[in-house]
Amino acid sequence: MHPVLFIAVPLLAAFLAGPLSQIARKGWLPSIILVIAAIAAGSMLPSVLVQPINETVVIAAPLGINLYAGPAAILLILVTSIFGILLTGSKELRDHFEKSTPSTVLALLHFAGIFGIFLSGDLFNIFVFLEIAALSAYAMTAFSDTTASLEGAIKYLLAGSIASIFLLIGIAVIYLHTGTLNLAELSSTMPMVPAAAKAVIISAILLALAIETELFPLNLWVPDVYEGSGSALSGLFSAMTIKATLYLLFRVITLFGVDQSIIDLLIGAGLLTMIVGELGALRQTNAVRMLAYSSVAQAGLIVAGFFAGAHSAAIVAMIAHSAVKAGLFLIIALAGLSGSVASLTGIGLKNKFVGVTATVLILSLLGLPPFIGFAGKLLILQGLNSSVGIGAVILVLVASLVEAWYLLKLVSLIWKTESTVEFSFKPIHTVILILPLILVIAGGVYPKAILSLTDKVANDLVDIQSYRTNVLGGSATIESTDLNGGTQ
Amino acid sequence: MNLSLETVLPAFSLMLILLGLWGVATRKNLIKIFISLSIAETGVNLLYISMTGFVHGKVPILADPTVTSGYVDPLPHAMILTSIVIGTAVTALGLALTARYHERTGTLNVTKMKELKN
Amino acid sequence: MNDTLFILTPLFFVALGVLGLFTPKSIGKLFPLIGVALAIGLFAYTPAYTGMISFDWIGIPSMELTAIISPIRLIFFAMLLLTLFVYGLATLNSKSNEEPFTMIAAGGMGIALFSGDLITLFIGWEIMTWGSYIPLLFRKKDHKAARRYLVFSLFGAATLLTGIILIGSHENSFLISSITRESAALGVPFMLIGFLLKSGTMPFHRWVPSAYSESPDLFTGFMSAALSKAGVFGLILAITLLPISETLFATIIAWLGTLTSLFATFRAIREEEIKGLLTWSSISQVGYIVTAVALGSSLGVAGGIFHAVNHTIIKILLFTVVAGIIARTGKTRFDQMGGLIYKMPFSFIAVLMGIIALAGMPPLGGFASKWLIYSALIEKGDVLQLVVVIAASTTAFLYNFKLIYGIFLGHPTEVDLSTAKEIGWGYRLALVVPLGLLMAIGMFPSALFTVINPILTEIGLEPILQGSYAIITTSLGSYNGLFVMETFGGAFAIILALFSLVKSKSRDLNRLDIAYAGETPTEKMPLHYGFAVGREIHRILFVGYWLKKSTTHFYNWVHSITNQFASLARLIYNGNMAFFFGVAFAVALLLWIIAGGNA
Repeated sequence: MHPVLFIAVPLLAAFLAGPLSQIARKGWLPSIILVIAAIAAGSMLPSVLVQPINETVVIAAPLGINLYAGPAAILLILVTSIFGILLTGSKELRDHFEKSTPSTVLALLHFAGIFGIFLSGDLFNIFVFLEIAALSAYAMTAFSDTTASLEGAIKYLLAGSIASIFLLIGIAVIYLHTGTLNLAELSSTMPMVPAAAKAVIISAILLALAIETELFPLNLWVPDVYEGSGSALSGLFSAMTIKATLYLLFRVITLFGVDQSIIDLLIGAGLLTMIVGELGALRQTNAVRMLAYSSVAQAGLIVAGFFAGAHSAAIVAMIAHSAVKAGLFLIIALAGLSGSVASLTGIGLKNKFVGVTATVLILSLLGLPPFIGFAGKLLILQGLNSSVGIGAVILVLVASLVEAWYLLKLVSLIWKTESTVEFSFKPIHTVILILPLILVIAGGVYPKAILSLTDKVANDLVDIQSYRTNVLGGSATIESTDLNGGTQ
Repeated sequence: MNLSLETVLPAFSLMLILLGLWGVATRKNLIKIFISLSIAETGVNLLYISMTGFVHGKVPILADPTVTSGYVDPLPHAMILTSIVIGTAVTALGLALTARYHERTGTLNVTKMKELKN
Repeated sequence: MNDTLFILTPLFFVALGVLGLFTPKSIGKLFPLIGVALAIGLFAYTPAYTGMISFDWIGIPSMELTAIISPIRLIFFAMLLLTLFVYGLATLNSKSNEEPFTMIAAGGMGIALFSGDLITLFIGWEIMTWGSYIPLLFRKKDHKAARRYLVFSLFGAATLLTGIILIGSHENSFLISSITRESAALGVPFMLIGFLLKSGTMPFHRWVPSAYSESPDLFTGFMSAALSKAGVFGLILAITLLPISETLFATIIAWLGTLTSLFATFRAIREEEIKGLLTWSSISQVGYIVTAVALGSSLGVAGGIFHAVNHTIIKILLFTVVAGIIARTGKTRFDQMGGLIYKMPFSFIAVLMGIIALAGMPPLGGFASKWLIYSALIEKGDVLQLVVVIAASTTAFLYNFKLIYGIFLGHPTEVDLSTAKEIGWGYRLALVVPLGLLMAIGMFPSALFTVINPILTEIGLEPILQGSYAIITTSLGSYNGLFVMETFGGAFAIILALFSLVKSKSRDLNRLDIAYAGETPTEKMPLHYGFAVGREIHRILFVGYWLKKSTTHFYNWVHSITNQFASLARLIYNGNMAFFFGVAFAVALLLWIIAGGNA
């Protein structure tokens, strides 16, 4: 199984979207592609955990383009595709896909871009895939063609453009000083870059990645975009897109070996993001916007946790967050309403299964045992305590209280009797909710099963030496004498 | 002071980037913002060109296999080709969205795009 | 394996609860009783007083989940089982449908009680919390109480978790047995806030009245009788980990408990809802327990545990009766009732015995525990505290009386006596056990020391020597419960006999058939005893001052300040991209400086 297929198949499907849509009718094509990706990732995972696959397209290792299918990439592809299916299979998105082939193409390009981000071992390819994912995301945001969605799309595009300019600047300076863009090589050559240049590199790339991973204060556009794009797409962004950019942030920052001051800054930014995000959600009346703030906050917690040393826990939290947000956004999409919080009134009584799922997912999001959110949060808090101090723990817990206040408002509304709005669920549409429900409960009751996976994943992310060996081969460590050779 | 193209070009590209970013930060008109973004992108692209050493280098076509140095680095050229394409796509999409937005609301002012806020 | 099976009982409870979600209501109603039968059966099969079981839950050796059995865990578990049994019987006769969640909450509490490490404690604690949150959503009215309950509980859980993480990272182990005094000094103060909150001690009691009044009636009894004991258990655990008896900290907690008991009593007098009165009474009683336990002496802890046992029995008794009465009459306020003694004699007897025990009067069990608490206070020399506790205890007569008079005596106001019936058979059947236990404890108070003494030994205190089961001895003296009961019984029989001898034929009076300060009362005049009792209590010196000092203002202030922060946060998200560009470039500059660009 070649890792390149993860990118090639969605791309090919995108090009052939016209004819393929005739076979996979009713807008099921993106879902089918995600199912294929999930099956492929699932079948690759056991072998990848033992021996990561490094595939070089074009020439030999230092040159050429390499795709690195490590445990982290494959597991995250698996998770994001599974929870992406929930949303691409939702009525709201399938209607778009059915109506116009371009929207199908955009979704498939988005998946290709995301899988590309996970797999690329080369900074410029990462940029390209990031742009593919982002461009399609901008256009997808405007799916519903309302003023709000256009506004969201333009804002997304503007923010993304700033990010891409800074990313390009960073890449240029890196290339100027190291002559390579291969991440594995950069991990050994970065320390030799002059301090002044390194400052430019780090600040430019960090800025770009902070915009993409929605860290405060560079996430001012995020709630607008989510609100404009509607519930199903918000779910897709929150379950898939942000996971890819988080992975990118972790991969790049770890390999670059930045100073402790930058790490501290990232932890601080993560915590701040969490607090501000929860506060922003507190008095929100639009459910999509509320959950958008909540996604931002969770991303902040994950970033803080990862850089505080709770690597494995951060991955668990990523998986948990994908599951929870995919489920919650899907429920809002299923309700098929304006997205205002009040319109969720009484859906639990209309459909018990939906109500129970929403409640369980929310409890998991709050970090209550025995759901998966607890395992992640506990370990993250432990990491924060050992590397930052108890103050960070208290900060996160206070933020969680704020979170509880607004999320429980949602629970209260879901179970309220006097329903003001008429809507009907087709039970068949809700069946898919069983996926996040099972993950959240099973993973919470026996997190060891997931942690044994994420431990390897985290190790893949932080063990620079083995990454280098896997990509460049056993002997190929770049000596400083080679630094200026070859390309000049 | 020897003002060769090699020393001027990085400075010039930096100037273009800063000019573009300044435009993004100060202009209110969406079209002007896209123009500024394009300027900044052009600046970045020139930055890539400026580090290839194209003034003294040869065209990177391997005519004589024994000569392995003295060529212009071909990689940045390849990269900016990609980035130009992406930049064009982004600008095109942005302008398309802006046109549609203008159709609906009649405004191009970025500070007035406030249907979504708080 | 057989001897460890009993440790897993809480898990079976949770499993039964989850199963109950998928079974028909009629079968689900049996699950509390099945759970109790299972627990007792497993314990009878292999009576285990110690035991331990570990489970590698998360793959980190220091975070293994551990469950252990010890005397203190068993007695609190026994209280839970008793509550569950009474609840389970009564619920067979009710329309409620929260049984699965009761089982989940009970299982969570069981897990917390049997926890051998702090992670297990926390997991159980949280399962208990959300398990008991969901029944609050079943009320058709406002869900605000439910949300307030869970957010307050989560605040408690947050402080608990803070303490746990502090201890865990200091010891590199979460086992309760491995906690040293040094790390306990770091973490236990945080954990205590969580424990005090769960037990409803002031100033963390704000969630209690709304949660109790908004929960299903029978479930309220479960919360008051069982769940509040989790806080007490935690408190005992805390003083075991950190022998705080000498510190200022202990004094503060003891005083918090004392003040809670006093002011909750005042609030109870003023209360017009029946369940509200029982709620404030419950808060007040737990205040005694907190005071006693925080003394940290043998006598204090023994008194605390004894009172906890009594409180469990009394509160499940009273809440079940009241739930039955509310179910029959549909009325919830004192001034809507009256005269029900004619139709509900059994309930009358049950409530009467309940309030005798609640007031701490001999001959029932309530006296023994209060006696222990007073003795502990005297032994310690905390005279001021003793005065306050006794004041609270005697003031409690005012509301105790209201409970019996307001519901059963006088003339009915809104209930129709001709159609009123005795409370349901399930309720009546359920009450037999607590009533019997109250009598038994009254007669043989020292019998409880066969379980309390091992606990005292377990937590490193001197056991209290007791002779016969009937005689309870403290440093201040002793009394013979059996003798007191016999005397009371004798006196009661004699008076009853005399009374029935001299009793002439009675005649029923009209409600308005009285003279009222020289006037004849009209139909509209509220004459019922339950009307407006305690409404003037704020005119008493000091009492009024303190009653005005509600924590409501503080929590409202927290709420508004959080809202202001929220508005502030949302102010930044103003949707203006020009602002975003400015921020982005400023951050770029900042990053560049931090990354060393200025060097």
